[in-house]
This record gives sequence, structure tokens and C-alpha cells, in this order.
Amino acid sequence: MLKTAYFPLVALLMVVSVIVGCSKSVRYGDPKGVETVTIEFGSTDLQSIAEQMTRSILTSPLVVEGKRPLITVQDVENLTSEYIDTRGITDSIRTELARSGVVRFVVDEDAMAQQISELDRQADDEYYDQEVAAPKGEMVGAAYRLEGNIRSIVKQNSDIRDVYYKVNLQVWDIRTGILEWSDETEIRKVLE
Amino acid sequence: MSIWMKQIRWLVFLSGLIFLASCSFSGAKNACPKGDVVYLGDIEDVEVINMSCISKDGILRIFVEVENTKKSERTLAYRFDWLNEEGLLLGDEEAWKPVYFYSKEIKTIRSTAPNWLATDAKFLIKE
Amino acid sequence: MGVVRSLARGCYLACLIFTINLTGCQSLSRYESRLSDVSEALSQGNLEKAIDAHGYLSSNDDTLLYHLELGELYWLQGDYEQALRSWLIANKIVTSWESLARLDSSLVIQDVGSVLINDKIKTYQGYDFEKVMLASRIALTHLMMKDMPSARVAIKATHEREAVIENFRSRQRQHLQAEQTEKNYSLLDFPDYPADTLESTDISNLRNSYENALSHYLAGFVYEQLGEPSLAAPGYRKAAELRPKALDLLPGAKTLNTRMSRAKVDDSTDLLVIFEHGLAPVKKSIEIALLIGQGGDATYVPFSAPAYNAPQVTEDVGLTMRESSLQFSSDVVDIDAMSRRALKDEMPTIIARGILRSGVKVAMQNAADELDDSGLMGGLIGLAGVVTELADDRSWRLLPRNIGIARQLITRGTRTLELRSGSRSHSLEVLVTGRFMLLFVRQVGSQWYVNQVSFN
Repeated sequence: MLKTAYFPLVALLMVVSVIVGCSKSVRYGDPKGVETVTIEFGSTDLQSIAEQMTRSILTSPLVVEGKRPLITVQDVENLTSEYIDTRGITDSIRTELARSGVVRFVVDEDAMAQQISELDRQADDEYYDQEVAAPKGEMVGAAYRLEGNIRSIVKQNSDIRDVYYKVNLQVWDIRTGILEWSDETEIRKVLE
Repeated sequence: MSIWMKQIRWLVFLSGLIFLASCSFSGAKNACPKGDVVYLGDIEDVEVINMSCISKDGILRIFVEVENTKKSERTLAYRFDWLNEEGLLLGDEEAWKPVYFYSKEIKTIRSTAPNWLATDAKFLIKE
Repeated sequence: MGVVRSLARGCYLACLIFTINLTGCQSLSRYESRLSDVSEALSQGNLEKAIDAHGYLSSNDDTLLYHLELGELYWLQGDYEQALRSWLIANKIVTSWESLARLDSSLVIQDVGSVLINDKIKTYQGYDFEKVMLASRIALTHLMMKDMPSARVAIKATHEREAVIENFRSRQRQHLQAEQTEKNYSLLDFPDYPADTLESTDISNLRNSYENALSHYLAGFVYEQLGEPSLAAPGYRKAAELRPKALDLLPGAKTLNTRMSRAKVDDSTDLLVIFEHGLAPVKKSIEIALLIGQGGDATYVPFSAPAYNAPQVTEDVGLTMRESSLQFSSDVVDIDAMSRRALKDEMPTIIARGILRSGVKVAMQNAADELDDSGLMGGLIGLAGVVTELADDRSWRLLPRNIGIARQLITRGTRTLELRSGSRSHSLEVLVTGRFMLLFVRQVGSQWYVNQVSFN
């Protein structure tokens, strides 16, 4: 009788231990590994887009002549309904291109305010030696601008969710308005 | 004959095979200087058929033909390690990129070196 | 046979003790009557009294609910620090739910936790739309405190939370579909239930119970002001997808680039008005009978289910600003419909749990009858069953019934805002200033509460 009276208690403890017992441990992962945690736009997508686009620019006539063109970067416009911080894409592209050493970048729209404030600060002769201070009026404008957009098509039924991303980038000659380079890359993800 | 001897003979035989295999690669037109292929982990039913390099305008371009010998569709991941003249790894590791294969499909994976210093590449593939 | 009998006796004794203990709980009183002093003081404009009255409510059994309501009172009072403190406590509970929901299906199992007892004994976990509203409220509070970085974090948490909920619910649905082998009961099996309170075009037009157009529009607004168009655009787009009729007229993703290139210095203010009115709908526990078993063994078991009152007639709400073309869209968030939709979606689970519970009780009663010839024990359980059987009528009641928004570039200066809600109207002098400005108005009864902040 005593044994059977314990039965509900044991059963309860078992249920509780199943719920509580599966504690998770922490480990470091590979930042460059394939990430498929959810179907949303993720690190693998960002990295492969940035890489593919950078390599494509590197082989374009714009770069190979060795003239180290000056480029300004504009944000990749997000035309999807997903919260994607596209600045991550442009930052990665810029960093990788800068590493290759074949192009140079000038201050873009977002960083302009900081640039102006720094020039203003240095122009103050009370604190700065004006002989070596950066003078105003000597910034160099870009010859090209890089811009682009990301679109998505999402389809879903009760069993499957299918997301298709298309990223399109272009480099425009600012003086002439000529399209110097353009490329696109696609990603398709399926959640079953 | 001791077990050791047997094993050494096997090793010699295997390394001879590997040498022959690499010879047949380097003999191909536009072949990469070394063109190593690394299969990571327990990857089965996948074969790199050919790997060729072309240097255009000083930038190395690489083409790798990969066959999925499995009868089902699958997603694999690959990356390249770019090496300079001394055989040292250039810059950061690349990100792993997923690639989708239909059953028995042969796919050409192409890539471009990140800069002019790259003279060779290693192709890595995993499940 | 003897083992089975003693096993049954052991189970039955344990359950009996448990049941009798639970009938003693005070938390079974109706939530609405507990909160009536608070909501009355609120509609009279006496927030001090409302907060006092709320303080009497025990915060032990329902920490989440207690702090949701308390935060709302402090928020209306304009005491943002206290509001934030309360809401962050509530948020901690929700985030711990979130991290569980991200992991695996253990929550799916837990959801059936109140099989033996009663839904109301369960710790209040909050409805999905309340969890999203809470994140939105926290973002709003940070904005009112002029803390843009924290507001951005809170906004990000809002849409991440929605994603977690969506993911979790779809897994739960699959789990339930896989489990269901027996007959599925639906509301149609209960003619006593006022099913029409859960049926309307407003309710069925919602994509789900939790997605909230305001939270996405607010995300768009905040990201836009922070100069992040790639995040602002999806915010506006999502909001417009959820409420196309209401939000097509307001500035959104289409005109984002024009607004982004607006001169850094000009004499206009990007004004966003959030106009909320009323209180969230009242839920009550109603009793419906359920026939369990077949033939001679069939027993009617009292079975209680939560139900909403019949929906109120939609009041005409208006907002205009003198000498301006300020566009107002009412009905951006319909919490009344969202609450009903949430209950409607939950109903199959509530019924399943209720049936299981009733089955357990009938089995217990039969076991008791069999063991105890006097029938006294069985009678005791039957009695306990009736008393414990009360449906969960808790919800975040101080939320508004309905939310509308207005937005426009307005030339700076003192302006008069005309507000109308049903038969009540109110006019408000507002100093429109700063590069962008957020104005919050809430009407409860005869009271109009106002919060505002402007940024340079």
C-alpha cells in the first residue's frame, strides 16, 4: 500500500525532470559555418552575398585596370517585408573590397556628419596647430557610387515555407551616369 | 613478415596512388598548381571530378566540378582557402556556402580569388 | 486485481487531497470584480487611487498580470520610470517563456499542465498579443524618456518576439495535429456556448491573434528617425499588410525615401499621434454541460469555459488638427477582436483539457463510489469538482480596446487637436516642436490622458 501511494509522486517527479532536466550547454560555434536555425535572413546569407558580390566587382573592368577608383557606398535598399539590416551587407562588401586594395572609399552619406564635425573641430585654432590641421575644402568626391537592393518572394502553405531572395548591386559612374557594373545573386531557402 | 612491415607497404602503395592522382590533375590544361581537395568529416558519395584554374588580369579564377554520386538530392557546403606563392593562407577564412545538388548531378562551382596575391586554392567540401 | 485496486486508491487519495486543497484558493474570485475599483478610479481620472487599489491585489500568484496592469497605470500617470520598472519585471517572465519556446516542445507538454485541475490555477502566462503589446509599450516608454538607443533595442525585441511566437505556434499546431486521434470537439458541440461572440468579420479578418500593426508602424517610425531606412521600410510594409485599409493613407514605405532626404534643418515636425480608447474586453466564466460516457454510464459533467460578452457597437472615433491636413486612421489595432481571436484559437485546447479533466473527475467519482460504499467520498469529489471548475477569466484588462494613429509633417507651433470618441469629445492644445514628435492620447470614460515627447 505504501509503495503504491508513492506512485503518483514518482510519476510527477518524472514529468518534472523531463521538463526541467534537459538543461542546455553553451559552446562556441564557427562564425563562418552554415547557419540554418530559422528560415529568416541570416549570417550565411549575408556572408555569401557579400563574398559573391565582392569577387564579381574584382573581376570587372572597373577595377582591373589598376586605377584604384574612388567609390562611395549607398545603403542596399530593403524591398522585402523582413527586418534585414542591409548595412551589414554593405559593410561587409566595403571591408572585403578595401582588403583587396583595388578600390578606395570616400566618406558616405551616413558618415558625413562625423566627418564635418571632425573638420570643424580641427579648424579651431585655439586648440589645434593650424599648420598640420586638416583644412576644409580638400575632400575628394567619389567617381563611382555603389547601390543596390534586396527583394524577396515568400510562399507558404501549411507544410512548407519557401523564401527566395534576390540581391542586385550596381556601380554607377557619377560623372556620366553610366552603369559600369551590375550583378545579382539569388538565395532560396525552404522550411519543411 | 611483421605487421609493421605490412603497414609500411600499404602506406607506400597508397602514397604512390595519391602521387599518381595529383599528377593526373597537374597534367590538365589550366590546372591549379596544387589544387588540393579536402573532404571534411564523414562525407560520402561526392566526388570532385576536375579542378581548373585560370589567371586572368592577374586574378585567379577557379572552377571545380563536383558530382553528387548519391541517388538522392542533398545540400553540401563548400569553401575555398586561397594561398599565396609560399603556400600560406591569405586573409580570413571564407564563409561556408551551401550548395544544392539533385541526385547524380554534376555541378561546376566557380570562384574568384579575393586579391592578386592568390596563386593557388584549396577546395574544401563537407556535409 | 488487488494491486490495481490499491493503485487506484493511492491515486485517488492523492488527487482528493490535492483537489480539496485547491478549492480553498482565493484566486478563484472573478478577475473583473477584483479589478473593478482600479478601472473605476481610472475612468474617473484618479490614478493615485487606482494605483492604491491595485496595490491591494496580491502580486504573488500572478506576477505577470499584476505588473502588466500596474505598468499601464504608471504609464498613464506619466511616471515612466515606475512604468518601466513594472513592465520590465513582466517582460522578464515573458522572455523566459520566449527562451523556452525557442528551444523545444516542452512547452507544448506543459500547456496541458492543468488537465487535472483547472485553467485558472495555472500561472498567468499572458496571451500572445499581450506579449507583443508589452514589448511595444516598453519601446514607447523608452521613447517618452528620450532614450532612443533603448527604444531601438525594445523595438527589435518586439519583432523578434513576434517571430518566436509565430514559430512556436506553428510547431504547437503540428504537434496537436499529430496527437489528435480521438474525436475533436468544437464549439458546435456546445449549444449553450455563445459562439457568436467569437464570430465576426473583424475577428476572422485578422491573420492571427498577436500581430500588431502599431508595433510594426512604430518600428518603422523609430528606425526612420534613426536614419535606418532598410529597417524602417519592412516595418511600414508589415503594418500595411496587416491593416491595409487603415494604413494606406498614412505615410509609409512608399514615401520613405522622400522623407529620408528631407532637409536636416526645416521648420516642420514629423508628428505621430497614437490615440487609444476604452478598455480591453471582459472575459467571464460560463458553465456548459458535457455528456461523458455512453448508455447507462453516461454522466453530465459541468464544464466551464471562458467567454466574452457580446461585442460592443463600434464607436465612432475621430481626430483632427485645426489648420492642418493631419490624416487619422482609426482601427489600427483592434484589441477587442484580437482578444476574441486569441480565445477562439485557444478554444480547442480549452475544450480538450476540460474533457480530459471531466473524464478524470468522473473516473475519480466512480472509483470513490466503488471503494466507499457509503458514497460519501464520491459526493465530496463531485462537490469539489463543481467548485474548482471555473474557467480562466484573466487578461490584461487595462489595455485599450482600440488604437488609431495619425501622422503628418506639421509646421511647428501651438496647435489645437480635436478628439472624439463616441459621444465624448475633447480638445487639446499641443506645442508641436522638434524634428519629430510623439503624442499619445488615451481616453477611458470621461478621462483623457496625454503623454508627449519631442526630439531635435
